[in-house]
Amino acid sequence: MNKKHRVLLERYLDGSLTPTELETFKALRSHDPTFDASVVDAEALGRVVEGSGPLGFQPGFEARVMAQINARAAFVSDDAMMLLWRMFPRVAVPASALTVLIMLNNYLGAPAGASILDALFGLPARNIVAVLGALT
Amino acid sequence: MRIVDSVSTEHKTDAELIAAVTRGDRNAFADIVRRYEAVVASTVIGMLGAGDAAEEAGQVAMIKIYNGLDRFRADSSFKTYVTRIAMNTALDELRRRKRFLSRFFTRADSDAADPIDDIPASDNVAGNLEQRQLVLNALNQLKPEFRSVAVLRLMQGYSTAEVAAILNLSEGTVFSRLSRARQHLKAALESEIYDE
Repeated sequence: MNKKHRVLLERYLDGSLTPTELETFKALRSHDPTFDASVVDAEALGRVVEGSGPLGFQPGFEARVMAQINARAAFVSDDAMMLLWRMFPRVAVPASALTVLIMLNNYLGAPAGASILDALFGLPARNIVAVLGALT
Repeated sequence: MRIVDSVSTEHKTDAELIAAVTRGDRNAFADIVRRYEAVVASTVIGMLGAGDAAEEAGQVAMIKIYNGLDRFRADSSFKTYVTRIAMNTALDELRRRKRFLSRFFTRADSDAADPIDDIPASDNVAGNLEQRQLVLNALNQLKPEFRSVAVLRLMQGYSTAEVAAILNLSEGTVFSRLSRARQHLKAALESEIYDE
């Protein structure tokens, strides 16, 4: 079957042939047994496939879709969480650096004999007194 | 959780439902899901076969439709728009599979007899699960470019012009692919029938 005949057949199955083209199609069918067999084949195949459409999803598809959509909407609408989420990358590095500086300051100002944990995490009493003194 | 407890929207047109969704009425989208579930199902199941992958692709397609509703411009019918998104989602899944899995091809035996004629017409076998499975298996053997036109044109009954619009192809390309899809599908069905 050549390209012209193939297109003619597809357009026939599509139902988009003009009356003139339909006459040509019918004439071709009656004079060309190979073409006629192709038409019969294509129509048979079409009936088989058309009648074999999938049954569908398991029951409850709509509920499953809506649960996802609602969950996403709830997440996006939580403004405070979103603000924190967006701010985290900006504040994480400076906050970490500040924490290390405070711990270093504590360690250097710790009294002799203080354990390492006390030195790092204990209150820097001497410096606080110094700061308060400077303020007053 | 439902933000808006709207009245029944079952009798509304697609345009009214879309407008309601874009105003924040998610209940209206539930109606859209109900209305187009079969369209999405036949597209993704036709492309991917029945199972979890098709269910997941169906859900992804529906979420894409929801997220893109405010960009729907009604250049095509909403059904065409829904089908296009479902088809593209299924094709994405096939591309993903292709990256990880080796493809399985069957050889068409051109000298085989014509067992398609032996299959009863659909009117006589409505709901015949065996036939459905046979056809889905045969479709599964086609390359995605042929499977997509076969699913849309033969299974879902879209016109050639609609298939061209959904797949963003020229009508000539659809005609050509459809013709080859029929040949491959016939061979695949014959293979399926003889293997049984």
